[in-house]
Amino acid sequence: MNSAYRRHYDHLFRSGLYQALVAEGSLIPHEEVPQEADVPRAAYKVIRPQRLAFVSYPWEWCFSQWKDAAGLTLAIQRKALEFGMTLKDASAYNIQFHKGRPILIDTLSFEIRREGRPWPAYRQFCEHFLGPLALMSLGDIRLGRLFQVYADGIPLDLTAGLLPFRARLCLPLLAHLYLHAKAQRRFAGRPTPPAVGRVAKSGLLGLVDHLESAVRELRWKTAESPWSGYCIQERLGSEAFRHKVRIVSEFLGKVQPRPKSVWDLGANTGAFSRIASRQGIHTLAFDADPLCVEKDYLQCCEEGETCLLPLVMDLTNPSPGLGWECEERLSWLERGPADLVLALALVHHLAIPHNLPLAKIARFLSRVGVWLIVEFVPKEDAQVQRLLSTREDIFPDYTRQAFEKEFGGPFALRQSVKIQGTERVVYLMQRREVP
Amino acid sequence: MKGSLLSMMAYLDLGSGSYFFQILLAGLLSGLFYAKQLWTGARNFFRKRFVGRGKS
Repeated sequence: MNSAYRRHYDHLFRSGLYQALVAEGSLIPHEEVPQEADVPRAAYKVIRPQRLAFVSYPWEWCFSQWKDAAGLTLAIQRKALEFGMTLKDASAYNIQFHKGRPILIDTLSFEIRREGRPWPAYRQFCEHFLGPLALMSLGDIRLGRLFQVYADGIPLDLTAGLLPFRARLCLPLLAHLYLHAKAQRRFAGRPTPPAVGRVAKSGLLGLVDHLESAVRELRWKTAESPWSGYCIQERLGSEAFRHKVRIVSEFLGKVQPRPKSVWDLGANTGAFSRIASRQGIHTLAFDADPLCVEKDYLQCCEEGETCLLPLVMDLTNPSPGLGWECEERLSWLERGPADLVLALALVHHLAIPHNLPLAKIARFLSRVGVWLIVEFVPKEDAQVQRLLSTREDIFPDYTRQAFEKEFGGPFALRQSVKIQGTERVVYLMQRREVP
Repeated sequence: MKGSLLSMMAYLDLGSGSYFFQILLAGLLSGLFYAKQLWTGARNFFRKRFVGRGKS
């Protein structure tokens, strides 16, 4: 931490704001560590925040996660104003999901409020939170992915252009998005005069209040997606489902040392992710369907789950490295590997609709995690038949023998069990160490 | 053409538009905020008074 920040950092503690935010779980706690010899002289302190289990990015969040992150940012700004401070930025990247709830991870985001000064993060809040949420709520849920392209916030003129006309009928959106975008266009390039006007504290509180009501009113009227209504118990039959749960639990217990992280790929609404997370293992549940992730997240909130984080991820096009030198935001694979990967009823979805050879799927999974619990669904299964019903069967190599041969390359097969009443097989595998 | 002009303007934008707009909006919202506080206070006062009495 640079010496220039000293006054603000000291005020954060003296005012009691840090203690209040940490106590309510809104800000990541940190400890001050001794300065090492190679720290520049301009440094005031070195702090070490509590470590997160996983860093996620906004385009990987479902609607409610984004909405909760926006709500937390505004709640923190309101609290900061009470303590004579303000948030100097409102970046969505500063919010992470930790122990089941959103948390601010940037301790240095606070500065002492100068009387009369507007909120410096207002524009950023609109571009990082309100705009994307409005697009997802009133436009299309997939528009949240635009954030991946406009990684520093979706420009307001673009948001205003993409929103349907009815968005203008909502007063907060009309003000914070449309009129705000117009003002940006009108004053673009003009310098900001140092004292053109003042904003009283009540004005800032009013602004936060208005933004809060704008965020609160945005809802995603969820339609059923093809996968959100997918009930594994119904498809598999309750007896087979119970047997599959038993197999996964047993395999999980056999992995030594006990896994600290589990990634469930194609998790749907997290039925199998919870086998791991309920044992206190930090579990990430990835699915490409935003509605499945939404349902999974809402269940996590309802049940107060602290070890499970559902995220949106298309495994055939996972998050790449982005930003400066492609290193500002890490790619999905760089954020691994997991100790254990669950790939249940997943391989046929990669092999058949996406024409991915089994060898490539095996290699990909060996890059994701060390241990693997994977299910092979044979061609005769109704689910595979459904995938083949709309296309020509050009997959003569999609067989159990080929599966075992290809997966036997990067992995050592430890155990396999056939699910009762089906032809499906669940395998426990361990990645071979590359010499 | 329009798109490229807009992105060029966005590049040059120093945030002046957001700055001016916020000053204007916050002025309006300040009054609304006070009115809302007053309304909430009055509602709570009467609710406590009458609901409290009803219960006792």
